[in-house]
Amino acid sequence: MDVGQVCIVGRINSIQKTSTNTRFNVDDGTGQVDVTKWVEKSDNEDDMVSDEDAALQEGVYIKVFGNLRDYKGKRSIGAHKLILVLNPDMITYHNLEAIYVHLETMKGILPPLDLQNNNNFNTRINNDTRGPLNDNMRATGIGFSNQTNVGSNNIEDLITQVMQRYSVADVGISISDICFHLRDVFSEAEIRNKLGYLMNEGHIYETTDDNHITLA
Amino acid sequence: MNTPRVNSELIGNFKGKTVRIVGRVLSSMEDGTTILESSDGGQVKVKLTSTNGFQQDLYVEVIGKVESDMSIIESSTVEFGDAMDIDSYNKMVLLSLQFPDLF
Repeated sequence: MDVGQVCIVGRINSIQKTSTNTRFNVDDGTGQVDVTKWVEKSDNEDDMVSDEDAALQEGVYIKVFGNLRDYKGKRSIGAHKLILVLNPDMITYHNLEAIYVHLETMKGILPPLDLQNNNNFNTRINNDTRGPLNDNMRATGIGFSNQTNVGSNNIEDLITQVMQRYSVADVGISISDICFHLRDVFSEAEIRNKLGYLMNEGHIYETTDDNHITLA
Repeated sequence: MNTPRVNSELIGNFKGKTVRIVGRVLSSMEDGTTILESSDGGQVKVKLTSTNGFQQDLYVEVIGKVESDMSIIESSTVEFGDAMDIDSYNKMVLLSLQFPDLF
């Protein structure tokens, strides 16, 4: 999977300033990476920029948002935002988030809690109920659960969730990526079927080719 | 170069290597000898080189080299202030061990 936007949290090792950009060498414990922040020109932000710059010194922790670049095998980050880390719990949080995103990428998105609860609910009804009403009651149970959990467990909501989370500006997300993220929850056929419906209803549309879509 | 996050229990696995360790300052002498309470509650002796000492109870992150006696020769330190969720930090350190591809 190609990585575009990244976020890292690390200590500033060194800073190099030029008239057009500032280059930070940042160490997050896994290694070092160069982070370039281009100077933004506007009418009245001279003072603001110097205030922000003053806080970003060697030895402090920063959180970097930017695009990952790969030039002749050397990775760097083109930053669009740098935040001074004032609370050390942000480091804990960031590393846990990195693990979470890694697991989600490797194993697919977690089935929502409501889906699991529904299963428990149905199981309970099956176990507790005897006699000919069993099937009717189970059917009622499922219908009831789905209605009370609107917006949390159905395929449309999960597709929307994945699209919001992984879409890239202009391009959107590829259908195969959506299937990948939801592979533990729905089959590709189910997802493509639902995407066709959502497209007919005008909720999503194709972008660069017929494998890439975005939310309307 | 990577600098793994450790606590007092893990430090023995990294003799001769550079690590980062977070802890609370229990004592700090003028000769730079500092005792940290690591995130797992164990004590670690640190020999400071970048600074003379720290105030008591300050949370710090030390980067330094692990000596054969399991003390650390500090090369740099970040001060974290006097409040942090050190238990969660320790859990993160332990969890990170299960993801050698990431850390």
